[in-house]
Amino acid sequence: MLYPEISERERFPMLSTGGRELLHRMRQHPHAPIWNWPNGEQLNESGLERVNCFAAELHASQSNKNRHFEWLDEFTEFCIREVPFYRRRAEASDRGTRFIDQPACNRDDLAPRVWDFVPDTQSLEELIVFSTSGTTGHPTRMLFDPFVPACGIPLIESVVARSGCTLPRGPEQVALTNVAAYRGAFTTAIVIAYLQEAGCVRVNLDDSAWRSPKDRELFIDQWQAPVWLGDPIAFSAMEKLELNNAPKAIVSSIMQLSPAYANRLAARYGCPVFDVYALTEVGILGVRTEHGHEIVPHDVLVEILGPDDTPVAMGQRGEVTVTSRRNPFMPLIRYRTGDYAAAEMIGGRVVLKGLEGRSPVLFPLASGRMLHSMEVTRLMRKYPLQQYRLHQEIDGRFRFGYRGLFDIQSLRNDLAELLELPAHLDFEEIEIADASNGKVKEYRSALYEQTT
Amino acid sequence: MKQEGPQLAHLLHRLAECPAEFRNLALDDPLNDEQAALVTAIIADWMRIFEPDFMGREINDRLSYSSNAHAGLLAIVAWLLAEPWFVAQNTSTKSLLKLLCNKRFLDLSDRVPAEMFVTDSDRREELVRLCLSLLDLRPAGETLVQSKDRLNTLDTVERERILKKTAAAEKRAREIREAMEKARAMESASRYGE
Repeated sequence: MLYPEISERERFPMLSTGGRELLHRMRQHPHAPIWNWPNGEQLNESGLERVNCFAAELHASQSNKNRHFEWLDEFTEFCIREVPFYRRRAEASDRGTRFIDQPACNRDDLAPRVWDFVPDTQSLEELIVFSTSGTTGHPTRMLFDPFVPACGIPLIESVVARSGCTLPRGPEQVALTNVAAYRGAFTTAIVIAYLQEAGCVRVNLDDSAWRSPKDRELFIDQWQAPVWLGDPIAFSAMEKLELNNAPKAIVSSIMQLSPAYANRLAARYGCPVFDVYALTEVGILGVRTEHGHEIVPHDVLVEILGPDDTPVAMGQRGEVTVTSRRNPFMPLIRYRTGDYAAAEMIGGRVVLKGLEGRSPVLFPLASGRMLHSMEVTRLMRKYPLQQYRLHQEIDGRFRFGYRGLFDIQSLRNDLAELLELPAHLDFEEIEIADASNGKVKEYRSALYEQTT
Repeated sequence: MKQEGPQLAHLLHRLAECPAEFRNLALDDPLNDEQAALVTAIIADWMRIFEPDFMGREINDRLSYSSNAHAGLLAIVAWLLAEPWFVAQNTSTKSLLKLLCNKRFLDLSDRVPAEMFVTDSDRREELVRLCLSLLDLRPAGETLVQSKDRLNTLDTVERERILKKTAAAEKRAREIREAMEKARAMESASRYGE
């Protein structure tokens, strides 16, 4: 995929000589992968200041068991005054401006008119856009300030700090190896401003991403990043490599990590393995503990709502709903995530019990290749789908469900090509009744489940 | 709008019969002294229906016209409210004068030719309802909600405000979409663990 080039200065507005040298060493390493995503944090001084401020508050909140959300009413008033979506909704009701009286919203509200969530007074100068996600079956584009994704690093640091692991600072080391394992995954090398330009490499373990298969071990071993970040499929691919170094912590996200596999990884590498629950809308939200997923960020209010938009009793199951003011382009009031869990207070902290995450899915193809569901996700971003799902039956036939107006024939051709022209690929429209009933299970392969 | 006033139909009929001498006052701008004096005389005569000793200089002290259209519209209002129902209620000249000073008439005269408040059925109803609401009255037989709702529907100034607001909202949405396209054409920044 080709990207119009932006300058190195735009990617790294505060790049020092040391940072430039580390970037050069990572990118020009003789065993480096084929880089296909020349990106950067795009974080300027004021953005970094906000990340530092976020990190300080996050750190302080770790020792303070009672998190305070006294900003909720003021934030709600702001949204009703400044944000077209909330303002319109308020004008059509006499609900008032107290947070507690506000109804929920969800991705069906956000996806078709994401610009209606941008406050009137928000400058558009620092806007960045992420395409997301396939993984909920509701693809859309979301708007962010660069400091918002950059807050992911303090959040990861706060997770791994539970085992005493810290991330290095300075442009002498690589702090994070971000691993993927599917054809077409992005690869890049960057420096992280919050870590005073420590490095981060994103590698793809798929054969197609390397000049020589042996380069994978040589490159990953070179940097000895203390933290690996990826999903269970990526770690499974990592296990096949003969590495001389192990990380100090492994963070698994995007897809559900089974406790059994977490234990295996922990035993294999002799380090703690953290399973985090993250959403594009608010970043990392929870980390699994023995009690359930404990909420990590201090600035996101998590509620469990019933169908009538009122919080259910503690311990009762309902939809995980978030309120967050972190992203200035997308303030969220009671945003339903589509995930279901029960909340309990354990040790003064909210813990989500019985959270059902997304299981990693591989689709066996006729050639014997295993197709990662992320490859399907990336294809779907090309089309204005409201919702979709891809299921594979035991006999190998595919069923693709969809909702939205788009060029079906074009998608059929693209999808058939990706699936290696299967004998059976049926298209079916997702009924609205199905679609409104929580998250659609977007990927499933009965054939793969049978073989595992 | 707390109390019931006269029948709406009755006032609409009266307004529709507004004499051409009143309607034709509001033709030329800018304001000329001759027309201003004529409208002041009309208003003074109207006030004397309610209070025979009314002194015309009170009008000069309190009321000023911004344009011929504004003055002409006030003459039409005077015609409308000379309706015997208001006289029978002993409406005070103070409240009538206060009504004429309301900025809403100036706003309306800036947007709609005064004659339209006689010839066009919607504008006629708007003017009748506006006058009643400024006297804290609603048409006989209507609830407060019905009356407010109908006035909002007809409100020229409010409609213009909404149109402007909608246009501003569309412009902002277009700017955001353009910024999104530009941002998408560039690269997304790095993100971690999402």
